[in-house]
Amino acid sequence: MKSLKHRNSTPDKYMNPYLAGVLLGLVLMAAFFFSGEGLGGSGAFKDIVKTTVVKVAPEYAAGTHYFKSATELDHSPLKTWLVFEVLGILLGGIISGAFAGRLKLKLEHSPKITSKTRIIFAVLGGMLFGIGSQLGRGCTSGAGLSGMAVMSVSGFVAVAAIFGSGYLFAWFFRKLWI
Amino acid sequence: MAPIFEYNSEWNLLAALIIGIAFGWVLERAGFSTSRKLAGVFYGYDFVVLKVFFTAAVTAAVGLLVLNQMGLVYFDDVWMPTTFIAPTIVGGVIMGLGFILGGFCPGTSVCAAAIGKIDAMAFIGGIVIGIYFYAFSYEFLWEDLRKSGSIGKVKIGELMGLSEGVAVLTFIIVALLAFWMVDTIKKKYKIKDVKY
Amino acid sequence: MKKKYLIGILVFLAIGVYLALSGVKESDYVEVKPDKLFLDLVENTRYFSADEVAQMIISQDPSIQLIDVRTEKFYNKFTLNGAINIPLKDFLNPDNLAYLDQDVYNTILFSNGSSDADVAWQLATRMGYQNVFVMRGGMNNWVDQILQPTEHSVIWDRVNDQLYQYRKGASLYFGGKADDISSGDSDVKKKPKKPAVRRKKKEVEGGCG
Repeated sequence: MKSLKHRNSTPDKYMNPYLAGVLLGLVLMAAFFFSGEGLGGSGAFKDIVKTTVVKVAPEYAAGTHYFKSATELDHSPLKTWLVFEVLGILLGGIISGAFAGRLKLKLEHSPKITSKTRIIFAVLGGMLFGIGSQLGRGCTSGAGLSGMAVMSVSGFVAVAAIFGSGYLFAWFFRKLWI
Repeated sequence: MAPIFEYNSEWNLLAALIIGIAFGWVLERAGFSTSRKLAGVFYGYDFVVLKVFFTAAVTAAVGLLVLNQMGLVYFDDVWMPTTFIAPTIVGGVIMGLGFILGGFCPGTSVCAAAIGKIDAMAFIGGIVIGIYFYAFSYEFLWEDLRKSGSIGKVKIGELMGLSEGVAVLTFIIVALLAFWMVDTIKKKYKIKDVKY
Repeated sequence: MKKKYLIGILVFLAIGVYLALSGVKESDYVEVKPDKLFLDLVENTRYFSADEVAQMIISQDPSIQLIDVRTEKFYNKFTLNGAINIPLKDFLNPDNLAYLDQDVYNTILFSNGSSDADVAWQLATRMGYQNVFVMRGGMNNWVDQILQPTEHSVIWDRVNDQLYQYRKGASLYFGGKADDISSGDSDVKKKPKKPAVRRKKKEVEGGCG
């Protein structure tokens, strides 16, 4: 670990992936043991969207199938386990990045494309994840990782679909990465 | 015994925060906060995603079953998703493409944005836009699909006719084989991991 | 292969083999599925009318146990013969649940109206106890139909003289006046029955999703 003074000189090496995997597995176990929940990512953004719509247009929201349940809560839709967990992810990333000397405003992209292209595709990718995660009831962490931790069929199906699809499309978009 | 904290109690939310911090810390330390490493699994130049992901899944699956044996966790008392075949597959395909285009998934994008990656922030913006679009078109485009294809809460062991313990052991073996395969590929083609 | 990896692999495989030889533990707590509960709720199969309960008491039906879910104050003031008092707030107390955890008696819950007894019924049914019923209308109905029946009440048509005697006796107990009292043992409280406890395995419900 580097002190914060020497950050950005040479960042730390990454952790051994298997060790990281075991640690992540332990974090996942803690989530189940203390809160009975699996880890997640996309759910927090869904809560954000619901909160804004319910706040800005409550009558419209109450009339739709998607938002109706959010209007019947006695607390803000933001007061959920997932939102706090994702907030934690943000903090955890900052802490780790700070100590490893990796805190830096950066835009990474393959040498074959421009920064602008990277941004456009990042937004597009995000949009697809927004839609896909709602349909699939979770993203790679929520549906995939947590689903596999409880050995649910949904977890394995989700992972197979996500990675299978990724490999399918990879060749067509290879310029984005290599 | 599990879960220790009650749903939506303040302690539970605090636990969520702390668990999230640990999650984010591990993700960042493993290098999941750079899209270059994340996309590497699809192009064969960095298999960190596969290694971390499956190790975590296997560890948690084994761990939960061990906790169950010790009487600390009963599967009825914790989260267990209902399996909806069709929307999960369709959603998964969409997300796979999203991964290729964006280079992130929601959890890792938050982690990457935390250390200042601008493309991750763009990705997060995209997620929110995508969800708005989905929400407003929900009744026309998505509702029927999302509610279809349910087969209930099925474990993979049940589906394949194996007991839970045997299924987990199989999972361990399959993961080990996958790791061995990946390392062999790397040795053969002499690919180096992206360091930083 | 490095030594640390080998150790890790062996540890996982060892635990995996151990798990493969063990079964999954289930918790003792079981709960009825919501859709089954809903059917019972909607079809009102849980109700006994005050008349029916009166009939069962008069004929000293041995298959029932009456549980008064009102507060002690009400119970001590007046209750049905042989009824046990389990105030709603103490309903989940394990000692009290013992009365439900048996399949010898039909349990009839009652309160002043129907709502508290209905709540108790829902709790009991969700926990998987069967043979639990509610006296519709509760003590309010009881007073109306049994203690102070109107002239065209169905009581007069259906029940025989014994009920009339019972009613008179009860009315007297309650503090009202009675014309004639033939037998005076209607206000003898039967001792509450000892619960016949038996653990039952029921359908299992999933966790939070």
